[in-house]
Amino acid sequence: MSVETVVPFVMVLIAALLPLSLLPVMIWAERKVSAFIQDRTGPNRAEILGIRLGGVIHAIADVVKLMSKEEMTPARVNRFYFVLGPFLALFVPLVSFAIIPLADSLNLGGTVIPLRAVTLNVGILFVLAVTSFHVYAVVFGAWASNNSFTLLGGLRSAAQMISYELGLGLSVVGTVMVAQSLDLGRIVEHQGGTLLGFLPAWNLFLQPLGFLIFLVCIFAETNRNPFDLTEGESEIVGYHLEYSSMKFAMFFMGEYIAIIGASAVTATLFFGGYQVPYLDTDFLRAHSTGVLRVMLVSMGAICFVLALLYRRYHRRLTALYHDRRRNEARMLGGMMLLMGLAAVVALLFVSPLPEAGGQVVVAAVQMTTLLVKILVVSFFFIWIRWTLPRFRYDQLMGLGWKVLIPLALLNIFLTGALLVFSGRT
Amino acid sequence: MESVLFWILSVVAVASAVLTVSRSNPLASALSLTVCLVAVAGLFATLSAHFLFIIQLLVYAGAVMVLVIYVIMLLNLKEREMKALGLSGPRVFVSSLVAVFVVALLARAQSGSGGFDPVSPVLDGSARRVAEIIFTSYVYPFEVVSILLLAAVVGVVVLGMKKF
Amino acid sequence: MIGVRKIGRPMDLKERSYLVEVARGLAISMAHFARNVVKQDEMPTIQYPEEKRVLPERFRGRHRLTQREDGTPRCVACFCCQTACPADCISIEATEREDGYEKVPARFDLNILRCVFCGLCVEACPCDAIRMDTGKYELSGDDRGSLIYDLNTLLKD
Repeated sequence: MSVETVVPFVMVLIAALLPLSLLPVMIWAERKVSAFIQDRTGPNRAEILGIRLGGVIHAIADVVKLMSKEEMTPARVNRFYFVLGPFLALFVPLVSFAIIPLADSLNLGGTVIPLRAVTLNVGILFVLAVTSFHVYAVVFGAWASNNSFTLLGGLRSAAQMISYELGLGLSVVGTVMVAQSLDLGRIVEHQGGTLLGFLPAWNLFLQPLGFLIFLVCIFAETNRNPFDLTEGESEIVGYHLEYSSMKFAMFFMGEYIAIIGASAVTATLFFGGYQVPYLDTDFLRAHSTGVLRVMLVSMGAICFVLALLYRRYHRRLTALYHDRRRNEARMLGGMMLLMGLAAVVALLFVSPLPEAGGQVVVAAVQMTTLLVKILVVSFFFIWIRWTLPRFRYDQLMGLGWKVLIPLALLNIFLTGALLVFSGRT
Repeated sequence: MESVLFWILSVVAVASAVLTVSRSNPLASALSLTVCLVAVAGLFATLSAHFLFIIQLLVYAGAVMVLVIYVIMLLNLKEREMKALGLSGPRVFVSSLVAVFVVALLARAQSGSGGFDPVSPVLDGSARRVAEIIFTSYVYPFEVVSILLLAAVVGVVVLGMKKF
Repeated sequence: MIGVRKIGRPMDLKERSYLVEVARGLAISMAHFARNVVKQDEMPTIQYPEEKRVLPERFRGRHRLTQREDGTPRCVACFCCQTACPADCISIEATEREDGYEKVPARFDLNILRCVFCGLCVEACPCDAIRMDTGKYELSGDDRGSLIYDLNTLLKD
């Protein structure tokens, strides 16, 4: 097996597993961030042998709860379509991750290996196509439930998603014009380097209006808070009213995977994707040994700081409660200490890297950068949700059709004019 | 690899196309048609016509079929009415005739262009190439279609207004 | 037919763009978030099973029956509390004392599932035999039977 055949498989695996492994983190973050914003402590009780991880264990408890709940199927329902809805809701958003470039292509002795699962020269349209498929989940879920309320809810959601798809597609055009390509890899490459000497050349600064429109539309596409009329659990009935147990969980998980996917697309299009700010790929590759050293030093530093924090936490637990929870602080603190020591030891043995090794290190750094950006954007999704109230349906449609689409057209026109006058075409 | 994909996709496309006309439940028909469109999009992808592949997914499978399915759902057909929509003798006869005619036509066209190759790659299916062709060789039909679409949009707005 | 009065709420461009207000809202929620992350100890939440709220002096908790010096219940089975109880949660069976001097309760069952903690039984009692000053509020059990307190349970506190 040569490297060229192994890498794509690994990339497909990463593209499938990354969103799934971020899923419990997202659910935990949603609950914890909402709690902190509302001056609560949030989930912190579920434990395994005293290990609570600040509430992450609740994700496992949730899964157990949802799997052991009774699974209801309404009367006179076509089971095929009834199951198709949640199935699509979970798996369609997973696909959009395949197109995201996770790091700059490896270049091993002339053979270029792109580090993404699917290499399409129309990548950005693929993202739009996948989001448009998400409507099927809503439509089938709503109709198959054999319930007028869910049908109305589904009608609302589908209309919303289709309407905001237009704005989404138009807002991306500006980015495409700047990068002169539909390929996400090219769009990210274009965002390396700096702008005016001090800003990273992200599309966020090149396309501020486009970014704003894109952000609003992606919120509506993923049915997140200011636009979450699809669920609207407190006022209006949503499309997944009749679903219970694991089928409901699939809708629920699909929502979070869609958020992670949307964050990845946002990070790729507007926050420079895998590009480390101010340091482009060539620079990183030329100094790969130094990069490795910096990585190990920062990893060691983070581990030691965490170990110190856990030590403090342990003291506090001892003073206050004196129960099994102290094991967690002791164990995780010890682990952090060991990892920090391992980083220090590794730092002592770092020798100048070969070309290929350097490229792999750089790829790892870039993937980490992308992951950090994805998490930051996901945090923004949650932050918005616990800040803004929900839009009314007519306001939602008015905003989409009468404000965002004209603004997106204006953005295309302005971008085109600027490109022509600056002679970049 | 690609010829395996071709065969899988063609079988799926043909089978779902047959299901589209043979199902009595209109929703099942619409779903089969969606599957058929996706399979055909896959065929475009194996021909490395990436732009066409995405546009097929985006426009037909993603937008047009959603609308069709929506209308079917809102019509709320009863079981009895669905039965009447199924296949009947004359319908099968006429559609088989048409199918045979089309297959014969395609076979005739193929024999002129030298052999049957399932995976002859298109030169370049990128968006840039497609745009070049549309805006040079086919610019006149393109503009005509644009005007048609514009007229349709105006028509929709007029029909959508509460009073004329 | 119901008439609809339209109230005009004119919004200027700043309000209609939503952006300024959204940014302000985000700043507020971020301020709360950051403060709670940094100063977790100062969060108002009480970590209940470990930390308990300091009860006010006159907190009306679960009932108890008071005793005389010799350990017998003060209760004379006069049925005043049972009569006063709006939730009908007390049921008393009276019997005579061995010396025949006065009545005593043979059974005194208090169904805490029905109790509304109004305190009328305490006010009705002529002998100061029932009080609600235990400060106990963790009233739970595995079955309903364990939540109907009998004479001995009530006397113990």
